[in-house]
Amino acid sequence: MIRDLMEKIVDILGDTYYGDVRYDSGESTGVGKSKSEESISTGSANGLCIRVISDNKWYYLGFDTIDKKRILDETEKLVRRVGKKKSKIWLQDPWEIEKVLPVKEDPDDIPLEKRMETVREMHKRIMENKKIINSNVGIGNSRTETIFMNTEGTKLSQVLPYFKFIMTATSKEGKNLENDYFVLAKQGGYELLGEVDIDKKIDEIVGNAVAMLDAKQIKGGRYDIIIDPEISGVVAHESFGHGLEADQAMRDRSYLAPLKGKGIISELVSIHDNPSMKGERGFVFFDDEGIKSRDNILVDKGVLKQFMHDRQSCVLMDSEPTGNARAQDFARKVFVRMTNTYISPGDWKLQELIEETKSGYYLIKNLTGMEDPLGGNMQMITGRAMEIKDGELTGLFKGVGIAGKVLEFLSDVDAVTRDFQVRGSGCGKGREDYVSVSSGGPYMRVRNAVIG
Amino acid sequence: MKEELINYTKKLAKDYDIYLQSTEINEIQLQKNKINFTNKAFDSGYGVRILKGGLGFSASNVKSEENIHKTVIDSLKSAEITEKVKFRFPEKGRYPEVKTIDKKIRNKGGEAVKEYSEKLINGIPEDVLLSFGKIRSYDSVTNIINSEGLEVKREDTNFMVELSLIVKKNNKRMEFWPHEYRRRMQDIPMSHIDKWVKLAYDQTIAKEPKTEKTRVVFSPSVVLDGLGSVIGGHVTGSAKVNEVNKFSVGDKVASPKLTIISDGLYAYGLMSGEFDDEGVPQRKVPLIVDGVFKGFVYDQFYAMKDNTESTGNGLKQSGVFFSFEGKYGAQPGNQVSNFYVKSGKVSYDDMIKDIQSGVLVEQFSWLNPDVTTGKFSSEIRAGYYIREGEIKEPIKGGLVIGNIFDMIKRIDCISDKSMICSGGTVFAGICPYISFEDVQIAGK
Repeated sequence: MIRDLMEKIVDILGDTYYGDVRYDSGESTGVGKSKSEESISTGSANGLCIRVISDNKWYYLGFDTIDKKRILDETEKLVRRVGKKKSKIWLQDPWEIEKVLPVKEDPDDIPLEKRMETVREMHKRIMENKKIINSNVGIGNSRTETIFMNTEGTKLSQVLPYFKFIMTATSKEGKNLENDYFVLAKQGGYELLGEVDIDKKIDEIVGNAVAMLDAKQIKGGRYDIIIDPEISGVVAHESFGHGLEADQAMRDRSYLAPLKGKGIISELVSIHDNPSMKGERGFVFFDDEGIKSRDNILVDKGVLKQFMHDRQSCVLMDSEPTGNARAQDFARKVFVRMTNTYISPGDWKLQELIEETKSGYYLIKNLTGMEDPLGGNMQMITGRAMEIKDGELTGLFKGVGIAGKVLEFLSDVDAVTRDFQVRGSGCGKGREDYVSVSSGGPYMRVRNAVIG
Repeated sequence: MKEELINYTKKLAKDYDIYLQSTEINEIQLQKNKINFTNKAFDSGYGVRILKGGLGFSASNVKSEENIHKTVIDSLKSAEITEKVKFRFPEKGRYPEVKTIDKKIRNKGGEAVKEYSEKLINGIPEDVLLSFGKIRSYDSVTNIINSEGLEVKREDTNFMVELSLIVKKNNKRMEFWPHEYRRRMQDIPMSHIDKWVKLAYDQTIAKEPKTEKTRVVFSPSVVLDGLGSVIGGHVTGSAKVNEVNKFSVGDKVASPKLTIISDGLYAYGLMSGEFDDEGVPQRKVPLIVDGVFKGFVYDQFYAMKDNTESTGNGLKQSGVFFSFEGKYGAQPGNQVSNFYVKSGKVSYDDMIKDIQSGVLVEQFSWLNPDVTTGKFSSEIRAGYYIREGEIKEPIKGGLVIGNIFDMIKRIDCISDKSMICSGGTVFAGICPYISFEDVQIAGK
């Protein structure tokens, strides 16, 4: 029924220069426990987004209620109003796919009672340490379907499964509180939980939360640092990637815009945004403008190669779409967003990197990061740090901020490991328009970085 | 739809509440001083909580009879599986009158957003590039119905402006990037542009601050993000029950100059309303008075856990990614309403005059302290040196490093005007300028 309606909408949109319609639907379940609360929440949602471009301006309609008559009437009104004026937009031959990303173990086949019991057991294990005063454990999954049709004749559909598992531990001594967490966020099924060594992870987060109660404060300044894959990923995404979203360049708001083709950072650093990276949280078969996903090399051995594009920006910047056009939901604009963004691995091993560092800090985990596409400044807060003295890890320190210019920071990278991880999370542009992404990379040593 | 949902819930459950919300969203986006996007979207849905041993929850915006039934059954099932709780849904209360509606937006958001956008385009000085802009209105109706006979309706409007204003001077291009939420359009007047443009221009000559310990003044939205996030995380019944609160009632936790209220009644406050998202009347709850911690805010769940009554603080605002539409999809959380910091007695001008040496922070890149520990380390995006009682040269870059719990004990002065503000980490506040003593700056 929804496909019939979408075909009728596309017929009406045929009187425009370009138009498309996207239907999103999904279901989700979350099971969680803290010291004071157990929760199971389920949800379902759908929405229809209709887009028309005329004279280079986009016009959208968004509907949460699939009322056929109302939707067709509003679409006809919109088409009559905006007309068929030529626009600078990428047009291509039609294509068709229907894809379902399979899971090995469907979470919905695991009884809710069993999932709740699993969460209770983990929570109990974390709370066994007397210094841990609270813990949150959660397992969540969702399944989203997207159907896309446009006036080119393209007809696409994809079903993507998301899975998330999180454990936190909060420690307390007197009025001193600390915490640590583990999170896994990928596309897949319940089998992903089986791939985690739960006991080991619980020991780690409990151990770290308790140890942090005695951690010291680093004195701010310039130091040689080693950053872990989580922090490398946030540098790639927040500090660097947002400046390569082409809409920022079109707004004259990217410090990277004049630097295409130039060597801008250490040749040890290559950066990708890859929406075709199956299993990672930012994976799609096609983006929200019906463009097939592909691996995009943004920086190759220090040389800036390309920006990420949607159908409009690529024409204006003499390029091609890259599969990066995404929307939070049916009610929001589709525009250039990152997907799975990472720094490529190198040749070193982490242990070698530590042994070859005379003094400095090893920074672990990332808490927050914020973009600055015009200025290229970094703003990140890390979780904790260990001092490096003569090639050995010594004392534990509280988390620190990393500041400075990202191009200088990445130019000062002098060693990159082959150890590599990607972590799923969410991204907002500014403070809204949330989409699922992942980011990651290797361990990297950065000389003379500003931390504090 | 509403009738089917209520009837089916009543059929299956003895104790329940139903939250329905519908929102019309109108939006215009601008690029390089021109409109390049318009959107009209509708979002409506429902969330059902059922008490049967545990407390279950399910939500949807799909209105088919089949899906309504599934949503109610899912909620019931989750109530049966989760641990038994001491809970009852609230009864109807006596509701205060609270101002929350902009008549310009109500029922005609599209026109209002267009008018504001055109004014904005015409009001931007010729030497300033409006790199991009988002202007959006929300027009919502919320209904809450529960098994205790509570049936309430609320109308809300909200308005958002996000802009990137870029200026060029001395071969430097700099940006000021405001992102503001208000109930009414008139509360983000065109006169704000002058201040934002000045902040952008001043950044073209800004220098990185030097490393020192000095007096630091936070702007109202910075006060909201800094104090609101950390203090807000330690004054809830949830924090108390989970033992992650730093404060106990009667503790002297801050300078005697500091008084903070969770104010759900403030006219046109972003979190204001006659009732919270469980139907309990909102109110003013003193949190810190003259530096002494006075009490916690509660929703129904944590009030019953702690053998007390809800203070009308069961609210559905999410952190970081603020939500207006789609609130039916979330359960109420125990949180502070408008974070109201009571103004002091000294004008902003006199506050600055009294500072021999210090730093004013108008905007951080993102102030997002660790709620548990109170620590933060944030980059200054727009600030100034203060010397001999005057605002002097602009600064940008470098880190302000501190701990909110320590800083509130070292308050030097609070300005005499608290204003409605929104932050990047905390949604809703009414805050003044505050100066703090001995704050660490890490720069050159």
